[in-house]
Amino acid sequence: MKLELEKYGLLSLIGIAPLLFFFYPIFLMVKTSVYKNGTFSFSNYIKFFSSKTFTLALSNSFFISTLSVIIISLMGLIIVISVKEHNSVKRVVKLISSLPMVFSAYIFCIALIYAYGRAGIITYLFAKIGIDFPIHKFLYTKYGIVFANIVFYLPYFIIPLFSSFEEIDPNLEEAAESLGSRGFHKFRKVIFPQVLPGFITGMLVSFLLIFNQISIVLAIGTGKTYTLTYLLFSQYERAKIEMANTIATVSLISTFIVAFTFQRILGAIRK
Amino acid sequence: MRKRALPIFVVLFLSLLILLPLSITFLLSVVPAWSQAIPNEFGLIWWKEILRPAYIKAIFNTFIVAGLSSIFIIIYGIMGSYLFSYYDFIGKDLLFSMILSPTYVSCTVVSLGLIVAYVPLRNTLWMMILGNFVVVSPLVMKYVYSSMAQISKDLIETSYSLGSSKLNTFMKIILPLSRHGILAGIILSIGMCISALSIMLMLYNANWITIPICIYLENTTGTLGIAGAFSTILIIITLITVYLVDYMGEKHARF
Repeated sequence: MKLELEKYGLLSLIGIAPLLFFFYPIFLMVKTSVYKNGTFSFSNYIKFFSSKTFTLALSNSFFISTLSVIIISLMGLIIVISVKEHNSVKRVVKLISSLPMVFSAYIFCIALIYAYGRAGIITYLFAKIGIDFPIHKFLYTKYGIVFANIVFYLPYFIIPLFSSFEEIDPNLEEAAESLGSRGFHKFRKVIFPQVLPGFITGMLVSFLLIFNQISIVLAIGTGKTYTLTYLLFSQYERAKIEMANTIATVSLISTFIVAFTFQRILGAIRK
Repeated sequence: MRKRALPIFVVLFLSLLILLPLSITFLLSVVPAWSQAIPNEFGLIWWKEILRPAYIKAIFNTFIVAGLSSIFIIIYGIMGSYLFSYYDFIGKDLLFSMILSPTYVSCTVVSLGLIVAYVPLRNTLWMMILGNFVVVSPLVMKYVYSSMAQISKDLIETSYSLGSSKLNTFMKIILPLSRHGILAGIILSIGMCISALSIMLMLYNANWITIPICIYLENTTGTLGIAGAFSTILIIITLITVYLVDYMGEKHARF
């Protein structure tokens, strides 16, 4: 009896925090977005989907996240395959690529601007030797945000992918080789199917982190490239709370749809 | 030779992308004047500048907000980890997923939700603490839980069978054995709260400006040297955090 009381006491204490501080605020936010002057209405959503700025922000968010994730996953895969058999290099790569995971994205972007921007040090040094280093040409556009996302979120993909590769049974590789499978054929038929769940999970995590981040858009977008999170922040700054709530709800629904789709894909792969 | 060329290229490529920009942040803080992209001279003018009372207050605020947030985060993390490690109940996985869910939602959405739900707390220190709590506590709980779940259940059962009370077992066996995980959680929490910008953007107020907010404001007004000096402080704090978390993790693994 005492044990049950202890268990349920602790359970209520732990369970109440996400309910009170995460789910209840989100419920209120969604509720506020579907009420206009005290009556139930979808007018905020109609306004959202009929506004060019808002729909552009939604498509920008999806475009930037999708392009970033595609490049990150291809780059990540190439990096991991290139260094997986060289233990000392692997350690160095893991260390370097883990740095952005612990730095503030905003500071990292300021650093990127002062390195690769129009008046950046790297751009200047390359110009001195007659090379026009191309990053500064697109750094302040949505492709610049994609570039910053790739550099900043690459570790979130690489580190778990290293673990997936480390978990592959070496006997399986040896068996494949003894049956004559080598090179790209061995990778496609034996290795890649083994790491595919980790690969898809890495893509999902990277997508959700990129889709929901604001710091990189604030630092690189310089108010010219709108994404959902940026518009949410700017609507809040202008005290347009109802529209901010609507944008937040659209962002949440988009996140849910993406996570659900990836989970379905993962489920299909595991079957 | 060809076999080694590709890994070396990967290291150089990652260094150019990641390490170089970070070292430039430090350069910004020690260069008072630039001619194009080349430093004219070196000096500590920006470092002296951040000793002004307003900036000292920002440093003080950062540690107060991070310290108070971390107290709540770590207490919640330990209690949660204890619940998930030693009790079975219906919906255990669901509750764990519920606790982790803020990790995958935008910080701006979390901030807006808190502002809508808790109007009286708006523009207060408590709102900033609450924001940190929602965003950081899931990660810290994951860390502490992974450490606490490794303690042998037999050891706990033996303690009970020898007549030790639950509280005594918790204080004398569970806490000491999971101390490295808890310490890593504390360091992680303080590190994350100190460098938190996304969550603070909508929750900060004029009385409680923190270092990341200072960097954001200085950068928008174009005072790069001060932003560089503050960024360097944050980078040093982060590096110490990473080293300590790694060290604690290693100690825990050895244990």
